[in-house]
This record gives sequence, C-alpha cells and structure tokens, in this order.
Amino acid sequence: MTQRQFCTFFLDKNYFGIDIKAVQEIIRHQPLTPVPLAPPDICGLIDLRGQIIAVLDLQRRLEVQTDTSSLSINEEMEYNIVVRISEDMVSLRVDNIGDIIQLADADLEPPIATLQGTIRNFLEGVYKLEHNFLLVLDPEKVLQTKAHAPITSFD
Amino acid sequence: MNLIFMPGFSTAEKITNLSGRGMGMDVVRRNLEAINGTVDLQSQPGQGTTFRLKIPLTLAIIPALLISSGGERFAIAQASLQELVRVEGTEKIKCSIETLYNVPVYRLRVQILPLVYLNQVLQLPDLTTNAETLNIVVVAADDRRFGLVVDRIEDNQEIVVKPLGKQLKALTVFAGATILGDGKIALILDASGLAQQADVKAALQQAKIAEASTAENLAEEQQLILIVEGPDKTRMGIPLNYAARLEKITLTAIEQLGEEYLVQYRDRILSLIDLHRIFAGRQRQLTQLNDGQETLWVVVINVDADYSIGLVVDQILDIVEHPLTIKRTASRPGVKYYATVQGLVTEILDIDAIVQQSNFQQIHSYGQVIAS
Repeated sequence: MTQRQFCTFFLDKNYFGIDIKAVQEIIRHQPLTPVPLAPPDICGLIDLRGQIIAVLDLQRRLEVQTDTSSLSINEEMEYNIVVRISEDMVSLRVDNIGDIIQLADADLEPPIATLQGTIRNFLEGVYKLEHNFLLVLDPEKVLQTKAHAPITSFD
Repeated sequence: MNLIFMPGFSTAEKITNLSGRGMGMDVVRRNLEAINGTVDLQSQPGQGTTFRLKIPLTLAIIPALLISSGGERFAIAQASLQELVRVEGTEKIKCSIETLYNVPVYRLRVQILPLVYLNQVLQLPDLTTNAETLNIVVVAADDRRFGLVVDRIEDNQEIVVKPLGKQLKALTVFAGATILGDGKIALILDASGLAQQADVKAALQQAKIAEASTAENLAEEQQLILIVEGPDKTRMGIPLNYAARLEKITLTAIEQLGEEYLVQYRDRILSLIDLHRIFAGRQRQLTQLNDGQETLWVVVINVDADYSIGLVVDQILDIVEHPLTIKRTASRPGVKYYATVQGLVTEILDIDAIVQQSNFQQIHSYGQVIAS
C-alpha cells in the first residue's frame, strides 16, 4: 500500500495538509514588500536567498472563515510554506505548522459532498483522522493563477 | 567542438566523486538555454578558448533610477527615462500644473506633458500634500510620453532584474523586482504598463490636440517683437523674424546717391530706408543730421538671398515676446495694426509693404551698378 507524506498546518482552526513533495521549505515570517494593485490574496514579496517569491495569503485564497480573533495573531508567529511546482515557487502564509504525517493513499476520500465554497476547488481530498479531518490541498490548484478580473484602468 | 557540451564527455584522466564526470558544460548550456540565453565558444589550439555567454536582458543587470512614492520604493529602467524635472516651492507647483480636460498637465518648454501620479496609479496613500517640491520623471513608452510624479527621486543604481512569479504576471505595471543593497525588495516599474494603467494614451491624444492648437496659437500670437522708437517718439514693433541684424552705423559711412542713402555692409550695398521719410514725410539728410548725432541705428532686413535693406530707427528699445493681438487696424500705410505691448500702444510695422513702398527693385539695380 503506497504511503504519502503530508506537511500539515493550521489555518484558523482548520487542519490542512499538502503533499511534502511540493514543499521546498518552511520558513518563519519574513519582511514583506507589498505589491500595489496585486490581487487581495497576495500579501507581498519576500526575498528567499536572492529569489523573489510571492506570498499567498492562504486564508484569503481558500476563503476560509476568519475569526476576528485570529487576525490579531502576532505576525512573527506566522509560518511560510514555500511550495514549488516545477519552476513556479510561491510561499503560503499559514497560522501554524503541524507535524509531518504519513497516510495511506487508499484512505483518501473525496471532498465532503456538502462542502461549499471556494475551498472545494483547491482540495484533493479528505482524510478521516482519529480526532479531526485533514483537508488535503492540491498544490497545483493552489498555485494556479486565479482568473482575476482584469485590472480596470482609471477613468 | 560542441562535444564538450555533451553530458558525460570528459578529458579528465582521474575521476573523483565530484569532478571529471563531464557534466559541467552540459549544465552551463542547459541552464542558459532555459532562460533563452546561448553559449558560444571559439578555440584556437595553443592560443586559448573564448566562451561567450549571452544572457537575456530581462535577467541581466540594468541601470535604473530609484524613486519613492506613497512610502514605497520603486525602480524604473534608465532606458525609458528622458529627463527629470524638479519644481520647487508650493506656489510654483500650483501654477505649473494646469488641467486640460481634467487631465493634469505640465508645460515642459513648449510641449505639454500629461502628468501621471504614481501613487494614484498604484493606489498608494498620498504623502505629498503641501510638498515643497514636485518631482517629475519624464518617461517615454512606445509612442507615449508622460510625466510621472513621484514623491522622491532617490538614486541611480544598477539593478538585477528578477522575474515576478506567475501569480503576478497579470500586473503589467511591473516588469519585475529587484533586491536593493539594503536587502529590501523594490518593484521595477514598466513604462508602457504604467501608461496603460493610467490611460495615458487618451490623455496624450487630448494633449496632442491641445498642443496642436497651442502651437497654432503660438505661431499666431506669441511672436518676438523688436520694439523700436520711430519718428515723433512713436513705439513701433518689428516682428523679429524679419530683422536679420541690428547695426549701429556711423554717419560718415553713409553714401548718398541721388535720393538714396547707401551703406557698404558686409560686401553688399545696404540701402537705407528712413522711417521718418515713410511716416513723417520728412526728407532727412542722413549723412548730416541736425542734432549732432553721429551714429544711426539700423535694423537690417534681408529682402531676399542677396539683397538687404536697412531700416533707420531712432532707438532700439527692447525685444519682447508678446501675443500679437490686433487692438485696432492700422490707419496709415506701412503699419499692419496697433497692439498693446508692455502696456503701451505700439504700431506693428508692415515690413513687406515698407519694402514695396521704397521700391527696392530700383535701388537693387542701382546697387548692382555701383558694385560693378
């Protein structure tokens, strides 16, 4: 039975996992350079050893319910998961990092049928764990450029 | 020779874990090709080998100007810059920016420059309220030219252009990003993207229309006029484009020939036309003026390529740039119209008519006779 390893993390109270093969590294909060006119789910740019990569606010991207309390989270406590697919590199901003867990491929279940919202489009599947669920993100879908509305010019 | 780029090609006698495996040049070529560059080599046995690595500009180092706006720093490629304009003083800033169909413009010499406020385009806060200086970066993009208003012009720097990821490709305003000396990231502005974002095209078209009409007006209205004093202390204006030179001529240099007065001037004969004679009907003896005057002011007017006349005036007063608006049509021949210049009524002379009146053709033949 094939096993997969997942890097797990938290967004608000939700437990997420992403295939470890797509993860390049996990870094602490970095000084951000904001990008004017960027889509709202991009918080800015960071300098990763000379390479400039965009930081995605995963909470906004997935449109996960945000408690106002979680907004007050100390920036220094954030983590960045640098995800790399071929040449495309993006850093995902998450609230907290969990363990690396190993799960069997066969146990992955399709997203819950009643799961609504944007998040459904980014999910690969769901694992039933002992106490909670692990929502497995599809890194390719997460990195895919959203079809943003064309940036309108000023009149 | 391309063999050295093949993976596994090695001339090393000893192979270690790391070196001599014949991978080096393959890696070089593969990485260069990945960014659309090329590697080229020339070799002469016993002479040496030249490698030429061509790296596309987008990944290369470019000279750039660092600017700041809305609290952020940006870089803009020198290649798209034309000049930097700095206006100082709050009052001066206010009057130097005009609005043309709701588009702010700046009059840069004779051209009209549409202004683009960088902080507005990028939706950044405006930190320049009541600023003492106005910094305009004149940017040319494609066929558009505009003035980018920034908060501060910082420095010239060579920057390494780094691409923005796929996520930000849609932002045409930025050409990339760079890491500055202090470790901070600055976004590189793309001139044509900026122009698009700010809709400069429309602005420019409007400006062009305005420019054309102003140019027309300029030709019509704004003329350099030589102000002279004519007979009876009248102020007279001569459009400066008629006047070739102003000369002070000593009376002894004037020769009289019949009714005409001539001066040898730069290998040609200049026939003098006295404004007194034209306007006051006085036949003055130019070689011998009553009031003990020893010199004459002469405005040299080139009639054609090899014929000039000299207009004798009493005084040269000034040269002014003035809108030639007709205040009243002329009442005497030789005057085009009256205009107020510097608050005083001035007769603008009709030079063509004066030349005609003085019947220069006849004098012309005279001159030729004398010259021969």
